[in-house]
Amino acid sequence: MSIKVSNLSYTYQQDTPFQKEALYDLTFEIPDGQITAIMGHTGSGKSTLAQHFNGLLMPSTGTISVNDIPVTSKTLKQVRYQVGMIFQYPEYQLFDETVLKDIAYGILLRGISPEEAENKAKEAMKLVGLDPETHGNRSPFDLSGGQKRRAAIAGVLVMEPSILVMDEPAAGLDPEGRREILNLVQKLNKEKGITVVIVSHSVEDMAELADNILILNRGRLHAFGKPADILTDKESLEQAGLELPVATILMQNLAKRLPGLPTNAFTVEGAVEALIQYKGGQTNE
Amino acid sequence: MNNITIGQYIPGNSILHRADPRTKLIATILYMVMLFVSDGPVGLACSAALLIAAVSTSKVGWKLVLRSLKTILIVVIFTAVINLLVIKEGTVLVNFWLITITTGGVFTTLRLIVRLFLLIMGVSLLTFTTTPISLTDGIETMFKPLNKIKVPVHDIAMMMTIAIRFVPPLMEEAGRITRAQASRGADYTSGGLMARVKGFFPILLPMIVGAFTRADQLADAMEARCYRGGEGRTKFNKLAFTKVDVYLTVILCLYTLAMILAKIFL
Ligand SMILES: Nc1ncnc2c1ncn2[C@@H]1O[C@H](COP(=O)(O)OP(=O)(O)OP(=O)(O)O)[C@@H](O)[C@H]1O
Ligand SMILES: [Mg+2]
Repeated sequence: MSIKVSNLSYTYQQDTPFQKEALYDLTFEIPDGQITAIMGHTGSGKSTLAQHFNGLLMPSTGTISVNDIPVTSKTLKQVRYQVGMIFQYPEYQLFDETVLKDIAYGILLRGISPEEAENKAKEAMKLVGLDPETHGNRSPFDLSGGQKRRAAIAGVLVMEPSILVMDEPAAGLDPEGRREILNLVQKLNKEKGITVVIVSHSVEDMAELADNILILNRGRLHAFGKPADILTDKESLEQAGLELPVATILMQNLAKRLPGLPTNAFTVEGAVEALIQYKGGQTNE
Repeated sequence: MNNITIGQYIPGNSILHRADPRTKLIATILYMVMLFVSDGPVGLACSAALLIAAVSTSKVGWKLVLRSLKTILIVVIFTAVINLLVIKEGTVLVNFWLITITTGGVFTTLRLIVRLFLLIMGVSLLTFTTTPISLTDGIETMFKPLNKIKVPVHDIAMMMTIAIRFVPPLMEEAGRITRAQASRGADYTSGGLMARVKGFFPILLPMIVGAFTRADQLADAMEARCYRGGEGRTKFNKLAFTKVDVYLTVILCLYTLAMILAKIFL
């Protein structure tokens, strides 16, 4: 329901010698209230597609609608009220004197009072796990890399979007920073009911997080479905330049030695459970 | 951002692409001088013939070469109109209210338009077929003798190279930050002047911060590789004149000769 894309194609720098077709004839629907992952090899068109969701790029051909609003140059403002967009390395967009002011930038433009804006900014800081008391009045340039990124995310969340589009939100972070961002995504989806579209390279992360997975291959829709189907299909993933999650690889290799072991687990948790069950079945015999 | 303007290199492997940047620089300068020295009908026809030959061999395509004229169209129209109205020579063609147009005015204006168009197309052809880096390389080598009178030729060339090198990433960054702030509701098209200027801060500030960071990193990277200015520095890609340059030089000499003859006898 939330995002409908039909026959979308996009060409960069059309009618020049640098013309580059990035997306071909995509048709799909992103369901409401769920986490949908967009995956694919480098240069497959993930970022290009993501920028269509809030009208930063307009389809060369085809149409796209968000919550039943067709995305056109006339509806941009409406669409951007609905869709929050977090780019790769969002920390480079920070600019204001203090973290709080920077976060409040977006809602202040919507004409609410400065006090209300500050309150909302503080709430958004808490949401992303930054303490408004210790960090709120510091310069955003004095924060650590991971903190900067969370401040930038807060600057989008403060506008209370119903759909959140994130381009590689965990890229370049250490494992702990990664975990925190992914937990945040989960929290936003489960507690706030935000529809999340997340671009990612990591099959392991998306195995844990996503409700649906969309795979792009050279700008074409390669597959769209549930993780259980997508992430256990070795051949299809490899065609698209991706790999199976480690848990699936482990289970498929173990199954060669342990006949009867189910191979449909794709998360570590799922694999452990399947192994325990298998062991239970063995000892009961 | 989707528009190509003058100054963009179009990759290719034509004779013009392969020629030494110095040959192309000298050719362009000579061509520009000749356009102004010999500006009779025959002279302009010679220059036009040279340009047409050059554009066809470059394989850049007329579409792009003609598109480069778009940027100066307004200037040309403006100057043409002024010329047309001000010059009063020859027989009167139109005499209406305050407007008087004469044959002399029409000829001068036509010549001016052709000259300006030929000029712009020639210069854009140079940048279409020469990478900015090899262009600065050519300039550096050509001006090396100025070192003797303490002009820091190498440093100037290096600064130009770095500046040119950083245009694409800065453009890209500007695009990225603009899009990010636009997603947060930024608007640079409405409101009064002050509001608009203020609207640019969220883009300018991160860009300046980014530019300084890049500059720092580049300086460190250059020093880490023992860069210490131009003294005693050798080049990896040495410029060299080849057969192609000989051909071009011959054509250029013929052209110059024709232009001078046209100037003297016609
Ligand atoms: N501004 C642009 N002009 C021309 N071509 C572009 C531009 N931006 C991207 N492309 C091309 O479009 C294709 C898709 O790029 P895109 O950035 O969407 O890939 P991606 O899937 O996000 O890759 P990554 O995983 O590396 O982020 C690439 O082949 C890229 O070279
Ligand atoms: Mg990308």
